[in-house]
Amino acid sequence: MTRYDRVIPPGGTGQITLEIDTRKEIDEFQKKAIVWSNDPQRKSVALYLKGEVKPHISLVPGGYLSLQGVKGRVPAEKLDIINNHKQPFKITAVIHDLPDHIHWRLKKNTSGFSYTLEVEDISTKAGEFNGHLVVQTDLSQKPELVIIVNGYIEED
Amino acid sequence: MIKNIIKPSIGFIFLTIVVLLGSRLGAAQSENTPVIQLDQTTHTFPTVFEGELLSHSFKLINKGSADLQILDVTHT
Repeated sequence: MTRYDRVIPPGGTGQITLEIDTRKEIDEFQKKAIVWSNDPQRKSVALYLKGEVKPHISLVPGGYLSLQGVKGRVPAEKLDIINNHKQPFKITAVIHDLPDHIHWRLKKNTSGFSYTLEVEDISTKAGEFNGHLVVQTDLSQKPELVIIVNGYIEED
Repeated sequence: MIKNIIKPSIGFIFLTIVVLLGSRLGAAQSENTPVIQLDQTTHTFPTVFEGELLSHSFKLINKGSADLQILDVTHT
């Protein structure tokens, strides 16, 4: 969103206000706006807004788990769930839509502001599957996180 | 001898007229134009958490002698 004074008298001052909604940004960002005026020597001026947006909770290395291997010997996959506010928080529930394929375990780390989620394959048949794990937290800014889970299970 | 004195004088007078006219014309132009001046063109926000609304106002001054009109502000 942009607001600006349309006419500035000689010697007067004005403002150009630019807004950024950080729900649409992630990590480092740079936004450019061009101001067009009737100054014959400088008809356009570029303005830049820079910054960095941190998620409330990070999933490390990412919000995606891929279980691949031979049935019964598929290595478990792990990811860390970190509260970037550096304060203790609780994971209140983990829900998923792959009851025939995965089993999960959650370990709270000693700092109190991170958890390690381990997911293992329990498929009884070879094949592919795709689904989601939903992690619910008591952090008001981020009550829910979604992790994508894919499986590629080969026959022994 | 006289010719040699007159020739440079005519040249000098002509040059003076050109300079004077030019300066008058320049003055007339600057009298009727706006001049945009901004105190900054880049702003860096401190790191924030997702979901916050960021806002910054760039201040501008009209250093000219006619109304400065902001015709549009576009985003790329």
